[in-house]
Amino acid sequence: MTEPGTPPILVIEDVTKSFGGIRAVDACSLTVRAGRITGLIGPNGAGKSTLFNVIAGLYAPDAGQVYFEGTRVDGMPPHRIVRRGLMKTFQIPRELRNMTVLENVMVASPRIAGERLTDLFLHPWDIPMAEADVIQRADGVLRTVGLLGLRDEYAKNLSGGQKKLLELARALMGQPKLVLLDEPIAGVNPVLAQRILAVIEDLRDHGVTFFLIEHDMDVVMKRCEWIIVMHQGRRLVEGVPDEIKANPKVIDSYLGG
Amino acid sequence: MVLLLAGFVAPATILVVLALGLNLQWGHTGLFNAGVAAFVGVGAYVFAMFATGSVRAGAFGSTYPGHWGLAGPIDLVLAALFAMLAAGVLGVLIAIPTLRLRADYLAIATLALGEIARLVLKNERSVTGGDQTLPLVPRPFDAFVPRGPYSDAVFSLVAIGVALGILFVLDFLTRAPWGRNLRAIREDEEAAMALGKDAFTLKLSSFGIGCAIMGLSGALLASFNGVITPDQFAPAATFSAYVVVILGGSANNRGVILGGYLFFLFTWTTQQLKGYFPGDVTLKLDYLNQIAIGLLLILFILFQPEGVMPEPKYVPRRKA
Repeated sequence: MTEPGTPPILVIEDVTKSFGGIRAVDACSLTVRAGRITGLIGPNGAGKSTLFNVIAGLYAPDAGQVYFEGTRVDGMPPHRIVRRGLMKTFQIPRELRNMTVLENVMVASPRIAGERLTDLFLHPWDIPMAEADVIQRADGVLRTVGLLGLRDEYAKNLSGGQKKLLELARALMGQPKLVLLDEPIAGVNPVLAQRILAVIEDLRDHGVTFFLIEHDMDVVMKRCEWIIVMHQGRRLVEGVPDEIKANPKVIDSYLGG
Repeated sequence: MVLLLAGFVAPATILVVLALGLNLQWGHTGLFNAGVAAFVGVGAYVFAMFATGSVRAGAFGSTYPGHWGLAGPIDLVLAALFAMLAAGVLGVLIAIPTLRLRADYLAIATLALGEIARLVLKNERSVTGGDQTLPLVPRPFDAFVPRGPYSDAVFSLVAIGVALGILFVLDFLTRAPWGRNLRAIREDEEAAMALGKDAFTLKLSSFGIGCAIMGLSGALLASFNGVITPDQFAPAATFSAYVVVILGGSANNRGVILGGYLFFLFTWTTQQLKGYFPGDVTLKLDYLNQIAIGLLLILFILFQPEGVMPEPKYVPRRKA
């Protein structure tokens, strides 16, 4: 394993999370380095999605710590973690069904005028300007992911693949430093999948860090610069794609002989 | 005719104000408040206690202490603000422990609160007068317009003014990013949190404001009716508010206003018809009215669940 050069953006130390008698994540430690695409792979039930939910603050870990840019974030409410620049997309899209595609993206905008009641009563005149700005940025993001044509459609009317794009669009609107993507292209047709991957790589080139769970090994091996393998709630191995492909432990537990 | 209308418009508008408060909680935020009547009741009694003087209550040997007995127009506006504050604070207090839990707990807690509030109003005679009616609750313009149809007409105008004011504020709040965040929570609370929204604070403020508006409608009710009793604030009042919101259109403030007048027209017509029927039928008309409302609600939920006026779609002009 070669020691990578960029500084760590996310550090997980001995995180444990149990549900009933099942230890979904078991004293897991790992590091995600800034500015690249890190893949998280492993068999079903390895604890990948649970780990993501712990990082995003949706689950509180039973033990262990999560550090984002050096600040401890476990125990923080999710919205405060998001405001620090860490966003997560859901494995199964969680679109806001009875809101339009545009609104779905606008909601994801970080702190804007008119979100707090005090702003509303103290500076009511600032809101139209701020809203126009948010609309413009949301339209820009929608163009990036190719959903601008569906801007005024209710989110519930989108196809499965389009909902995945919407998840990505919302994550981008939040202007995050680190994005956790939970199976961003699972169940998406190849054309849309290529578009999603192209957007991800373009953003990576602009300094955004990605940490993604994916089961499509071709995609993981081709697109990720670093791969972490989880097995039974722990980190099994990590390394560059070629090392992972050749590692006998990974072949045994996941890739198959 | 105008005077007959006043007897309709004033109580109907009070119902509209109540439903606007509920619409913020249920229509926009998806919070199920099963104790609407309690917040209206608290508003009504707080207003009455500020506005009525003390009187010997007789029968139970207790004295209704009355309170400030302030009945000038400004005093009554202040009393209405206190009614809002009391209902709003009560709402926040019940919401703080329950909003962090799963959605059902708010419903259970408010359902219980509804009964507790009614029983407290009924039994704490030394504070509320209990079942014995309070002294007549004043209207803000009693000094200028004697009670009667003209007073009702003036009250109608006051109520409409209040309803328009509430509509203006609610439209402003729900069209702002704050309101968009409420709808995001209604659609999917966990997703909203993952998008950086402070769901707890948003739900708490929406619930508190909704309860304060309910308290205001209680204050209007006390002032208009003059007489209030604890049993007015039974669960049936909560049910009516939900019927109005569902018929009119959840998350559409204008729809809810329309729903309020339609609903009240229905009940009011029943009352007007009573004069034309023999006594034994008259008694049954109230029940028929309730059956008809129940049927209407079922039909709406089946065939027009979004109400008469559905939630408006947000379509701003393209800028990019």
